[in-house]
Amino acid sequence: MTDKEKAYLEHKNTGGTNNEKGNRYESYYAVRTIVRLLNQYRGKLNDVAIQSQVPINYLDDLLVIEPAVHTYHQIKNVRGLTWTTGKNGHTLKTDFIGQRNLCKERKEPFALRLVYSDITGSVKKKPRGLNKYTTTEFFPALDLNALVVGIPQFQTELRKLLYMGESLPLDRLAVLAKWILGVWCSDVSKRPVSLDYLDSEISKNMTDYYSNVSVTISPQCKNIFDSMGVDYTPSGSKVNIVAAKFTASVDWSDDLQNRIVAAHPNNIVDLFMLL
Amino acid sequence: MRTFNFLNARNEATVHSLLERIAAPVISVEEYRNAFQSIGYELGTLLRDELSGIPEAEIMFALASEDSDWLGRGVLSGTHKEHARISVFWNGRNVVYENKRERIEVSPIVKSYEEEVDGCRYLVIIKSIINTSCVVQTQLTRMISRFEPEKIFVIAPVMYKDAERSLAEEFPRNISRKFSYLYFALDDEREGGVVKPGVGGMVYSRLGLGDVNSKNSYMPEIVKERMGF
Repeated sequence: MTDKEKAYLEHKNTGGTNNEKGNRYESYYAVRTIVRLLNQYRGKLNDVAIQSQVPINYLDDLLVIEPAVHTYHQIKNVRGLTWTTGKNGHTLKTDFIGQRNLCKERKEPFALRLVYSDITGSVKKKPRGLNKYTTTEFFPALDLNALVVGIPQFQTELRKLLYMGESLPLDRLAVLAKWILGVWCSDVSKRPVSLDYLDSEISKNMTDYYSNVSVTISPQCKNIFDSMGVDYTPSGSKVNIVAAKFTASVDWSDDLQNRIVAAHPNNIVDLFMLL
Repeated sequence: MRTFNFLNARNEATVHSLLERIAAPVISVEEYRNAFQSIGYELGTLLRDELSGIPEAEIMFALASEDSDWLGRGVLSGTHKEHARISVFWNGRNVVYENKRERIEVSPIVKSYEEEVDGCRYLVIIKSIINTSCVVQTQLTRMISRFEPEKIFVIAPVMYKDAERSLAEEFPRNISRKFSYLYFALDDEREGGVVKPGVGGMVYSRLGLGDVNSKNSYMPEIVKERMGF
């Protein structure tokens, strides 16, 4: 690599904000990717890592390191994007070729991916010489909530990460997506971060996350619930409580349990005021 | 600066006076509650035309628990749809990420009282103030999980200037195109995240419901009545 090229890559990497993740579009795409990977690699999360703002690489927006392949992403929320979009002699096409050559030199198993938001652009068709290594992916430039509401596959994958996920309403899935965004944005290590780490951080905030061990409900509490015909289901550290038109999803604790037993409510309204 | 909307010869003086009372730095709990009920009635009166001829069984009102007994009752009464379906939500609030430039929050629904949605075609979301739209976003997302409204009214006495845009962005176009807003005051200033003059500060404490945590212990009378208590 020439000094000029190295300077270009260094400048490219510091182009964004120094210690923060890139723009929202990139972060939302990262959330979408993390959700996909958490499902795909469940039970072997340590095998996979993910990094944004990857230094000294042409495709530096996101790197997904899987055992068999390292996928370098360029993420472009640009209208009218083409393979010749760029400046100072550097285009999307030259960056992809540069990345291909770099990966070949390093003898790493690699793939390249262009993520784009403008469906009317002409990037779907890949330039010659890149076809073998490159995939393109349309990802809409929408707010995270809109992505959850609008992409059924995203919903399916989010549901799999939550206790009783199949029956949860969309707002619960959107809350999980936002917590994942929070965990992702909070990591400023500028190093590849393992899926295992992300998973454990997410589980601290989402009490009904799949990996949290389910709480137990005391027999006294169960008696109170049963006497009112209340349905109760432990979901990780939460308990979902349903009675008539009421639902509650509460973080379960000894304190709450003791308060319920002490108050011994005999109707649903009194019970729900305690929750 | 504050701009006003939906004022007419009939409601102008009343709404101005109510907005001033709601934003007043010092006000009794009783007065504050009454002011919200009255301004809710005025909003409901405007909504009445939009909902005229629509059976109550086809309308779902979505309310935050703290807004239900005063603003919510006022709106229901103003629309003459007191027996329409209601959903009441108790929301928490968490900061998922914060840096110097931005703050990302979630407002998960921790408890809800939700009446049947069978046959519902219209959704009315009622909120005392729409600022970041985080709570409204969550409630709306819950409601569209349950049914597909033909039209969605978002109504509040006061909105922050960016709230309409940010709420629209939080939903795909096929949903946000159904939104119709109704509000009296649009404020463009915030101090520490609180809209100025807005509703005079934190609604829960001014309504006498305590802080963001204790307000979720409050069981609205309207819910008790619907439950036959």
